[in-house]
Amino acid sequence: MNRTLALCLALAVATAARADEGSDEARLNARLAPEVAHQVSTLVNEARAAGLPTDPLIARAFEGASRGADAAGIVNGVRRQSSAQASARGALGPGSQPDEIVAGASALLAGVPADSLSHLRLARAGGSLVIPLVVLCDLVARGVPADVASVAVVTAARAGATDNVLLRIRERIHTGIENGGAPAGTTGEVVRQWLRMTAGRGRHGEGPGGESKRKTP
Amino acid sequence: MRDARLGLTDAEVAALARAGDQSARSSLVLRHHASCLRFARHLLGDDADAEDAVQETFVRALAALGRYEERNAFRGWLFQILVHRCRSLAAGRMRRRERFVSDDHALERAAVAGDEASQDAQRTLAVALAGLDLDHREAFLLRVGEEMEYEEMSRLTGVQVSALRMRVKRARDHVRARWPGANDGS
Amino acid sequence: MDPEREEKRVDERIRAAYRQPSATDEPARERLIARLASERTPRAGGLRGWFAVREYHARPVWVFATLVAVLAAGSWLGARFAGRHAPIAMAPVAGPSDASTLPVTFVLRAPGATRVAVVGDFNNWDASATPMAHSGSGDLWVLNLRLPRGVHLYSFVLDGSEWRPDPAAPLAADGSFGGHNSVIVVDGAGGL
Repeated sequence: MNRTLALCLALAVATAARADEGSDEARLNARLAPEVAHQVSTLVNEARAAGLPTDPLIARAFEGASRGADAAGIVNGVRRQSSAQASARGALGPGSQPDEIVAGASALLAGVPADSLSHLRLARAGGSLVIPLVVLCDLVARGVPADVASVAVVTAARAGATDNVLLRIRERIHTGIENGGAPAGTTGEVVRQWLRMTAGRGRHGEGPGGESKRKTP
Repeated sequence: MRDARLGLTDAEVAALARAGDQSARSSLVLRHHASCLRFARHLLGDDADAEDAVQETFVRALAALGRYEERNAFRGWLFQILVHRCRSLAAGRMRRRERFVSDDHALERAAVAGDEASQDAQRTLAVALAGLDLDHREAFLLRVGEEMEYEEMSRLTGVQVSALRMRVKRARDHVRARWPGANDGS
Repeated sequence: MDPEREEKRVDERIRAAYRQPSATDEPARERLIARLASERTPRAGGLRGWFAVREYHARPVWVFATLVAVLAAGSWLGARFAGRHAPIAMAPVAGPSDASTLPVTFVLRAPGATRVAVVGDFNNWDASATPMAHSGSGDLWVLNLRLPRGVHLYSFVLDGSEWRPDPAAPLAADGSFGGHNSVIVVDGAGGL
């Protein structure tokens, strides 16, 4: 009975995978030249077999097509994404959520070292790393040196910064850079300010008496 | 929480909120919550009541965005709702025999103690405000604290400009008299 | 000292004390947001309920008839009260409508542009799929979409050729195809 059930389950999974492959191939063939669609499809199937997200790979192919990239450029773009996803999962750990892998891949492609992803995982054990990774990627994309950005985000995360706090830190850094501040210096100063503020008010920036007295659901 | 509609004017954000943009609603809260809360806190002299008033204000304002007219400043419209909420709360408190203005002698003692020892400007301000009635405190906070123009204050309080000017002057004189260093030119 | 200057100086000090933030400000704001979220969607829990949308199920013919009636009424009211409200696009939200998707509004200020589209992971990067609507006042372009939960890259395309990231959103890595994309995380917390 158990063997039968296992066989049925395996068949169902295989059928679903084949269905996915079929629909992905159809989508790719509808938009891309046949040779490009075939190469991309191969990369997508490899990622699927490895248990990595496939939608971002297809999305990269379509982005390339829309931006006017040639065949080699499209395939290369997909390959980079696939490789980055694999590295991200390696750095973040095998239990990582698909969104974390995608965000981690983006961070790696931005130049964030893989070590930083691992440190982030340790800094926020049990919590989602999507926002910290997005913030990290954004800072590097805006010119903050990767090592400075990594230290800043990991430090803030370790100090208990929530997703909202990280996003606000990101905005303050952004504003500081737009106002002429050096990216590295601005990043360090904003995070230090937050750490000082938090140290005086307890974890997560809540002050004394933060317990609710008012209507809350 | 963060303002996802940075770069847009209040009127644009309000229009988006009215059209169903979820981020715009939180943007309005983020932009104006702090000013509403500090006003209510200083007006009512009580954190819990202030938070109540501000919660009710935002609930009503976000439900009534259809009535907001963009030719008026959003902040003024919001404060109009807030001022009325605070007045209702204060009136209810009076009916329950809770008084904001405490014993005059206690205030004097506190003011003196503040001059000598207190480095906390907020506490000094609270003591100074405690000696004003609601009308004077309200006018003073809108003008000096929130830097509103008299015309806007008149629109949202329903009080004539001339009366508001008088209230602000009296309140300012009262607060200055109790403000450390206000009279020594330092 | 000049009395007017002195008055201004004291006012500034009072204002500084008045505007000093309190440690309880942020918790109070979080409680307000939680309350607004619970009052908007009583069945959904916590902050994520803020952006969950109630699902209505109706026969298509009634949906169409209602839509026509609403649009007609809206046009009449809009003509009558023109200028009272900014005519932000009231087009129905596009995209699959089910519990796994959440409404997101894209906004871009693009003075001088004659057409603007959003392209991204959610629409196969197809500029013709989701054109934005001009707000009619100022230079704002707006689009409401329903997106599945997750991380999505996107960009704006102005007049069919100029690609521009969202100035209000985090940037993604410099893509393989040149230029930066923007990131939106759809997670029930309003996205990015």
